[in-house]
Amino acid sequence: MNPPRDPHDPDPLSRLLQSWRTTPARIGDEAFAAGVWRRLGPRAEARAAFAWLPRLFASPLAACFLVIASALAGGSAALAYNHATKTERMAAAYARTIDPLQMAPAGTRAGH
Amino acid sequence: MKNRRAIILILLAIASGLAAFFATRAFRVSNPSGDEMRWLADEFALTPEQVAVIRKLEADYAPVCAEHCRRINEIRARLATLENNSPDGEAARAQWAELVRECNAATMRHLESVAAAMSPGQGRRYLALVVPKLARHEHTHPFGLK
Repeated sequence: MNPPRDPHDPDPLSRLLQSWRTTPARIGDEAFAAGVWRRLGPRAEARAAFAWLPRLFASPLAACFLVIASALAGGSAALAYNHATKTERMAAAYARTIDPLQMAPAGTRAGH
Repeated sequence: MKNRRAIILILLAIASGLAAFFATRAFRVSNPSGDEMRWLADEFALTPEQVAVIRKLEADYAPVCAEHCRRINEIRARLATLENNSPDGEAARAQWAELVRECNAATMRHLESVAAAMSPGQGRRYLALVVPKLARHEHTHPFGLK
């Protein structure tokens, strides 16, 4: 493989080739090309919209906040679950104190 | 590299959330038995006056409940000695069905009286919570049937 040419090469042909610029002719349907760029457009915009996310994760403070917020959310969910199950449990226990069909055999419950 | 860090952070956040959830669930405080009135007052935000009214309703209902318990035990004991297809057995089963209807009706009247002593919204919530917990033995065999 040939080494890259030095731009200050004294050879005139070499200098000409270094300076030569051209725009290739568009091949294919113009409408097709426009459609491709249209489809790429929203995805490119979406990537730009979420570009801040990796930067956010890179911040130690934001990372700590995320972990703490997740722990708080888990704890809150557990408290809500505990309350709901406690309510059901206590309601069933209360029903057993007033429903004779659920009460233990006579003589085993105080007051009856 | 950034993506891997983000994935690790997300997994760490999920793990901390799950750990907090299960740890909090494990520290559930159980209520001592016999504390139903205190639970009722807390759960349905009862005022002291409402608590006093409901205690009176409970005291009035207690003898009715005791009588039903006695009759249930009586029929159970009788059914335990009778054959399934005998005329006495059929009669006892009919008595049992009637007693179940009577118990359910009395219990529902009591629940409705208690609900009426609460504020309207709490009363509706009380009935929605407690009524499904009642035993409805109309279509099941009574205990002790041979």
